[in-house]
Amino acid sequence: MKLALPCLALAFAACADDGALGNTTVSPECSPTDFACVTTGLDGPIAVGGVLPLSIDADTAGTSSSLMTLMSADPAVLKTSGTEIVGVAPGVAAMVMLSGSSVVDFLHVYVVAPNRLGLHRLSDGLERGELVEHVDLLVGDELLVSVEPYRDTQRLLGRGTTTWTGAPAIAVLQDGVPARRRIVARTPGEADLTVTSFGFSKTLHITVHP
Amino acid sequence: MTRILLLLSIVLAGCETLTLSAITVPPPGKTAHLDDEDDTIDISRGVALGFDCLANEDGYNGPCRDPRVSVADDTVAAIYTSYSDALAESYNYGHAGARGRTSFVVVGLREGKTEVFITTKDGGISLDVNVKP
Repeated sequence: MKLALPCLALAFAACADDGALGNTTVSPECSPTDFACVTTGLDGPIAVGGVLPLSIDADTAGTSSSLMTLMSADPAVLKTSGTEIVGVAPGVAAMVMLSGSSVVDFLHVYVVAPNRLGLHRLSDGLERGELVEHVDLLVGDELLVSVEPYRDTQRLLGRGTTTWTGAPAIAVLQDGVPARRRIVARTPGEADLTVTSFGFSKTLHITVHP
Repeated sequence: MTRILLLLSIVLAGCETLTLSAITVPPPGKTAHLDDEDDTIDISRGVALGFDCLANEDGYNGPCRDPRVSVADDTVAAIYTSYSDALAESYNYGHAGARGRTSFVVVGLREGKTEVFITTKDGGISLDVNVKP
């Protein structure tokens, strides 16, 4: 545990980006205990059509965060809505953080069009990586799966609207997050879990054993 | 108002006492360059550039005081006063203590040319801004 905590702290430290002026730290908005979300960080471009809620922390010594508004330097590439940013078209645009009429900080954000989806396995709040082969389950097993946009091997940021379908051998259950589902193995047999998002589909073959 | 600022900047251009220095870099493949000699800024559309302002005027040397900004065409570029979580020494016929640094941010909004005006207690300056694709 003593070793795990510093490792965790180091992992989190790499998951937020400093603003260009060094006055803020920007990271995806996550529950502090949702490690799979927290550790994603701003480590890639945002997907065209992707929505990314942000957490913006002021780094000014002795001062708490003020009320900030976001402005996009190029709304044709990146839009802002409250503390969310939305990828509109491929390119790069500065996300400017304003307090009143003064700039607190800014961050250049890349927007890239995805060309495929990836399904990721989650357990115990940790991400277990992309599922690239079929999955075997026993009746009663549960599998937590999230869908992520990709550009080739580059994982992109942002949530899209998703539709999920699965055969009778499995139940596909809402998990409170649009891009995530809880899969429960119900009866022995074969099943295809198909998810559609960002204009692409991805199917995961699942075999349920007795 | 813009005309007044423009005239003020022209009057002050002959006795330029402000030194501007870029403090941020553009993203790879994009431009954000402040030329303090020619008083020009070349910047890509969608890109922001932060820069500091130092004054050397009538015995005072340190961060520019009481800054105000404006732009001739706010559809081409935007300019804002900014904030820096750092101090810089100042001198006014002797050491005058540390003051908060004075920074500005210019944002390229649309391809074209415009002019931004910076006025301070220590003088003013106008910069030609060229927003590239």
